[in-house]
Amino acid sequence: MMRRIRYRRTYRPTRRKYRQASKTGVWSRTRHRTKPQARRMPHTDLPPVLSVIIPAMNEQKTIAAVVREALRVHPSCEVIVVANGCRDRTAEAAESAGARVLRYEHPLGHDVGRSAGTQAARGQVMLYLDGDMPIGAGQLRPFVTAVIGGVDVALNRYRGPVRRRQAHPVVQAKHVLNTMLHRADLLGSSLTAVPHALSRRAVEKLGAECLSVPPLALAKAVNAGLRVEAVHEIPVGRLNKRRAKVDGKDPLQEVVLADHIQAVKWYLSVTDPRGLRSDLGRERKRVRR
Amino acid sequence: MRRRTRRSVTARSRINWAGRKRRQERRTIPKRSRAALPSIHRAGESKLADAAYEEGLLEGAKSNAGEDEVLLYESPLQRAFTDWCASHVKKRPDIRTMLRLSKSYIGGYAKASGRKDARIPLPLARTAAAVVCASNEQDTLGKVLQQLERLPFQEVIVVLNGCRDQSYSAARNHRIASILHVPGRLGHDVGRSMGAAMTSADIVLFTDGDVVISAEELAPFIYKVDEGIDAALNDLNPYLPPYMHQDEVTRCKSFLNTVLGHPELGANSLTAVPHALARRLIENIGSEQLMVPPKAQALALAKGHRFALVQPVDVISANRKRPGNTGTGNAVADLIIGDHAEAFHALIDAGWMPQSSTVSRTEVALRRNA
Repeated sequence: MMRRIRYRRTYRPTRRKYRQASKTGVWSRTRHRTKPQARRMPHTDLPPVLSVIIPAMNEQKTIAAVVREALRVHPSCEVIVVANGCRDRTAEAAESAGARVLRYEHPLGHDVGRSAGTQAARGQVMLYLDGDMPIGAGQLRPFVTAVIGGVDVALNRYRGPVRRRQAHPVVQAKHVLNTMLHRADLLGSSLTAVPHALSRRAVEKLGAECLSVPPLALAKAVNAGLRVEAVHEIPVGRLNKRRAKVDGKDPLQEVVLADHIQAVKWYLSVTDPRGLRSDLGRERKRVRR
Repeated sequence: MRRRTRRSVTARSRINWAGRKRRQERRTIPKRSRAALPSIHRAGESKLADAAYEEGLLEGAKSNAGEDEVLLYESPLQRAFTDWCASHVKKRPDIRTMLRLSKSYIGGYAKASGRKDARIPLPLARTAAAVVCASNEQDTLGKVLQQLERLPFQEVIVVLNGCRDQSYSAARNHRIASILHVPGRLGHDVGRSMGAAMTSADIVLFTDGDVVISAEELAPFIYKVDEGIDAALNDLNPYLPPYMHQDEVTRCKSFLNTVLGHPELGANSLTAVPHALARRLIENIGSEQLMVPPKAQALALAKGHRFALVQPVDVISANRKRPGNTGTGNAVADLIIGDHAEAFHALIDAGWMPQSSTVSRTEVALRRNA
């Protein structure tokens, strides 16, 4: 049974406590704050341990909550919001919540935004989030802990809806890519899904630009012998906003599928056409051509 | 008495009816033993079947004893039934109806001639052949050929490879079999490719020597290809568990179909027997491609050939369990995953990419978040 984690309701119990406490008059300010405040770092020139990278486009409603949670993940932490193609107050909201903001006039898309943020990051651990889904800091910590503990690519173990007989094309693509990479143990984990964390070593080995095609980056990471592990499950499918489809198709699905094909193509080009699999003694020469 | 509150009523309605229905459907998988097949002729069921029976009686009276020596393909029975269908059956019926007519006809035929007859004449517009691959299958090969003899095949090519038992003599006992004997082992699916290269029939049915499938279950495959479909596949979808419990091989198969724009094919592929292919498909992709079935399927689908699912034939439970094909990460699974890698490689080499990869990331971002 999948564990249900309630993220959307993070603040409600606190508020209720706050109300009750204010009635009785006995409450300590530090323990019952209405909203978890950002822990500001003292100004030092030392690079932080953790860089949280959040691409955002027109996400002014949620971005502040996302940044606040991100700042609570680690005591030494910087948050970089890549505000691209925004026509609302996303950048301002992020800045007032305590993030460094990179502004881009034109929309970049999630993946390119991530790679732009990575280039500006100074931390030893990169954690990648989305601007539209606030996830509690406690749920994000396992990714950071894993990378500090020696993992190079820490993935979300979430694999999408898999209880039906025929899964969504993107879910299928993720599973099959991992199988092709001889990493069926990763199941449907992928760099396409947030949250995930990378080590500085992984970023240097792959290059920040490489992250703009996430499945390709995953294939390269596995092939380079980096430690890739699925460390923690956050069912992001439930948190995702429902988006409009374009003539019955999700446009993002097409891009993600093409990315996966590109990754398979790259992997087969650096190994061999059979992806290092056996042929079980097929006598190919016996067949007339 | 406890009153049913409003709350409990709503709670009841929250039961996942769709899920329950789906689970029930999953339970009613046709089992191998009780595949719904038309039985012997029963009078009064349909006018056409009665007419077929009467016609069978007339033809049976004309038949002589030496007829059993001839293959069904060139027998007077097949010819007479085809002629009768051409004159009496206006619209091409579906395979179930056709099998019923055939049964009725042969019922009358057997009654009048006084001999037992299990043959199934089928009116086919094209010639049909079967390719059977076998390697040390002396126990089942005879039965497989016996079933194939009941259908109007022009020839049945038996590819024997690496046999060290009595498979050869088992095949020799059947007149219909043309034997291709290879002393050494050929490996998986190479025999299919060699067999397909040997025949010139318009419809080629592929099956294995280790699983006996009745002629009634095989007939729909050749009938479907005779209708104009290029490839008729065994529909194994009903036997699949939910995606989370499927193995790697199944996932590769479904993904290949999905990427090629045929999600309705599910996890079915040319890897599973039985399946029937049209000559034009084999010639278009080249018979040598058939030794890597997923590659053949990928090329055929990419070239726009029409695939269809016929019916579920349970070859899973009949499959012999060998040390190499059980458990996760076994040698056969490794082989088939490699086949799929090869299929992807062939597709990419041919300059093929999934549709609308031209939609750029920024456009997507604009559409989603603007």
